[in-house]
This record gives sequence, structure tokens and C-alpha cells, in this order.
Amino acid sequence: MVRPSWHTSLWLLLSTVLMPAVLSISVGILILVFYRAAWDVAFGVLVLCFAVFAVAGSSITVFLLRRTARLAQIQAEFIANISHDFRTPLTSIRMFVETLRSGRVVDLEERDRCLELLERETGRMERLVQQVLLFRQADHAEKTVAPTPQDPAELLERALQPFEMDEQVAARITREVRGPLPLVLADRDAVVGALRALVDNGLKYGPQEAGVEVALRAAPDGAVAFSVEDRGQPIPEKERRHIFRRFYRLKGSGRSGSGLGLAVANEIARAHGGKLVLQPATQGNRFVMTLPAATEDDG
Amino acid sequence: MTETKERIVIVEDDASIREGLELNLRLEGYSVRCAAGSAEALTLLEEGAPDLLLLDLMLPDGSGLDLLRRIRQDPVLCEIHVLILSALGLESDKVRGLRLGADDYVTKPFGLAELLARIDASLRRRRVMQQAVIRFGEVTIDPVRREVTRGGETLKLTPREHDLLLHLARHMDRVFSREQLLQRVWGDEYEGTARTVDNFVRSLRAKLEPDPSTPRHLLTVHGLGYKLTS
Repeated sequence: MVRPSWHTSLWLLLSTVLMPAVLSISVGILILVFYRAAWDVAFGVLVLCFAVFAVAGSSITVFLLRRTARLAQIQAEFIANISHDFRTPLTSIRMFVETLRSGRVVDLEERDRCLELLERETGRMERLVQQVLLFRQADHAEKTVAPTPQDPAELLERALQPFEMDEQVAARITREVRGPLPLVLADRDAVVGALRALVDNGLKYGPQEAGVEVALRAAPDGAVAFSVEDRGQPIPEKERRHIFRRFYRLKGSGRSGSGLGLAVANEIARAHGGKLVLQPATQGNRFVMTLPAATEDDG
Repeated sequence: MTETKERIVIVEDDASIREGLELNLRLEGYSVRCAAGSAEALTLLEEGAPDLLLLDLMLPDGSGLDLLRRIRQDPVLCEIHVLILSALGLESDKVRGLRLGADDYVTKPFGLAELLARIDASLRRRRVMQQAVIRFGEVTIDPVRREVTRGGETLKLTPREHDLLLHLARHMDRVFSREQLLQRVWGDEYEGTARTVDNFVRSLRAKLEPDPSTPRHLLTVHGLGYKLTS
């Protein structure tokens, strides 16, 4: 992929816009200085305005192009990282399948262990696929969300499914559903994706073996709140307003991640007329996503 | 040296891959130990050098390449065969690993049969190297028949003397401290002192050197230890 460097675009701006602009500004000034009739003034001012607009317009264009280029680069990096992340579970899966096929494992317990690890790695693959899907959704959450009345407990159940394939991960998640709860207006796949992203984040940024508490309860104004609380380092005050930005990654976190989870979860919540906020927790971080309840005529 | 299982150390940060490799290598009849990071690997290696090291490159506490560099600079560990097992599959990655001293490079995901065959080949090369007959001066050492001759005449060596001579002969002209010799010839479990080594060197000289009082082959390097020279 060939991307014009900053210097190239600056040089282009200089040669194609700034030079003609400087020339027309000189013409404008000359007309104004040596004017003979009243219409010379109008003419000079018009020439000057033309030059100024040309410079301003092209500067804005270059700025926007650069921003798009940077986003494209980040996306390319994301694809590169995630394809690399796929190799790890793939290596395990291939190895265990070949191990079992070779017929060398005769011990039943060892055989079971191979199958157990196969299941665990498949769950990992599924979570990675989820991230790619999330990446696709990141572009147009607002347009594609199609909310229908849904049972919030069932949404949570569905969201936690891939985590339960891995016993070690499942042991770290505690859940609490405080009913009775109204139906919520939600696009099932989008909300499930957002919840998975939140849980995944909690697991990733908390300490190795620490738990993540997932809770579901009624919120004040008839809405329903999903909360995910981890035991990780509290996010510093300064960084809190950036965490919902796409591709933003906490400083010094050192963990692999797409920097998309929170951003997309936030966009999905807002596309539903709900919201995602970071609330103070006793220790760690608590993310709360609220979704509006479905009314009678939604059904 | 007695016939034992060949020892392999696996350095891999992913728990599932580590467990799978361990299972397969154990089934192949190797003695296997595992480490999840560079620091853990170094502790394991210090407890005794294995015959082969399976090394992942992206470790949580630093690059596997740094570990490889350290191993190659270490006088005791530098002869371990190292097979890199990495998801980095570019030609430049492989070249860098091999140039730093890896003996082989396998990319993830790998075929199990191929990996096992490569490990076997690597260990076979090592065995062939260890079985080669060594000659210096009038002395010939045949490691397979455990026979040492001088001028065509078979010398009567004790097993320990034989091991000590073989070790020094495999590293011609390299100086070993008494502690290093104790660790590498006698093994970790043996509770010996520097004196033990001196005694064995003296009796070896008596059998090996034409004039034991002015040795020509088995030399003392003052303040450091011993070396064998042709």
C-alpha cells in the first residue's frame, strides 16, 4: 500500500494551491494599489477572496485526508494483530486434533484433557471472531440496529455462552439477575456483541485470576441496566473521557486488544437510545449499559 | 555417560500449546520440562542443560531472541540445540533467529508430525556429534565403545575419568573451572569439592601423559581451572 507521506502532500499543497494563490494575491494587491476606477477595488477584493478561499479549502482537504489515512492505518494494524491472534488457538486446535488422530494417546484421562483443551481453544476462536464482527459493526451501529422487544436475562445468557466453554474463564464470572425485569427494546445480535465486549474487557484488564461480576437489574426510569465490574486498576481520571473513543488503548496496559470494545459497545447503547457509562466502583471499574424498556405498542 | 531419556525444555507462554507439546513429547519418550517465560526458563536451564530447547519468541517477560542470545553466550548452556517455534513467519524473522544461533525454525501453526520429525532429526545430529571419535596427540577416544587408546595401547580408565576426559576433549582448548567440571561431569546431585576434580586430573595425567610431571595435554590454567589441548 502506497501512502503519500506528509511531506508529499505538503509539497502538493504548495505547488498546486499556494503558488497560484500567492500569484493571485499579488495581482489583487497590484490592482488595489494602482487602481484607476472604482470597479478596480471590487475586482481586487474578489481576487484576494478567491485566493484566501482556495488556500483555506485545500488546507481543510489535506487535514481530512490525513485523518482518513491515519484511520485506515489503524484499521490495517487491527487486521494484522487479529490475524496474528488467531494463530495461537489455531495452533492448539491443529495440534490436539493431530494428537488425537495419531492414536498415540491411549490413556482415557489424557484423551479427555485433549478434548477439554480443544473446547477451550474453540471458545477462544469464537471470541476472536466476535471481535472481528464488532470491528465490522463499528462503522454503522446507528444504521443497522433493528430493535425488537427482548428478555434482558436471555440476552445476558446468550452473551455469556462463549465464555462458559472455557471452565477457567467461566469460574471467573459471577452473575446476578435482580428481577422482575421488563422487556427491553434491543437488536439482539448487537446488544449481545456489546455485552461480550464488556465482559471480555473486564477479564482482560483485571488481574489474571480475578473475577468479573456481571449484574442485571432495573434502572430508575423504567430502563434496564447491565453492569460489568472488574477488579482491574481503576482507569485514571485523565483517561476516562477517552476510553469510549475508537482504537483508544489505555496507556501502559500492555495487553492485546483492538481498542474497539468499549467504543462499539457505547455506539450500540446510544443507537438504542440507551447509554454506557463508567461508574465508581469499590475496587476496579464498573461499566453500566442501560437500555430503554419496551412499551406496550412495541410488541 | 549412561543411556537416559533425552531432555527437552519447552518455553511457551500459551498454556494450551505448552500442555499439548508436553504431552506429545512425553509420549515420544523424552523427559520434558516447561517454562512460561524467559525468567522461568533460565531458572530451569540453570538446574541442568537439556539436550534440546523449544523456544517461543513472544514471551510475556521479553523476547525469546534475548533468551537465545544469553544461552549462546553462556559457557555452560551454549551447546544446547535450540528450535524456535514462532507465529512470526516472515523470512526476515527466520533469518534473524537462525543467525542468532537457533538450529531450526518452525512457524505456528505447525504440523505435529513435522515438528516431531524435526526434533528427532535435531537430536540425532547431536547424538552423531557426540559419538564421533576424537583424536589428539597419540590419544584416541571412542565414545561409543568407551575406549581410550594411547599409541595403539588401550588405557584402563575408571568411568568417571573417562567422562571427565571426554568432556574436556569435546571442548578442546576451552578452560573449565573445577565447579563447572563438577556440575557437568559429576552432575548436580554429586556432593564433591574442587579437591575431587584435582585428584581425578592427577590420575588421568598419570595414565595419559608421557611425562605426568610436565603435562602436555591436560593443562592447569592458573586461577581458572583445567583445559585439554592437542
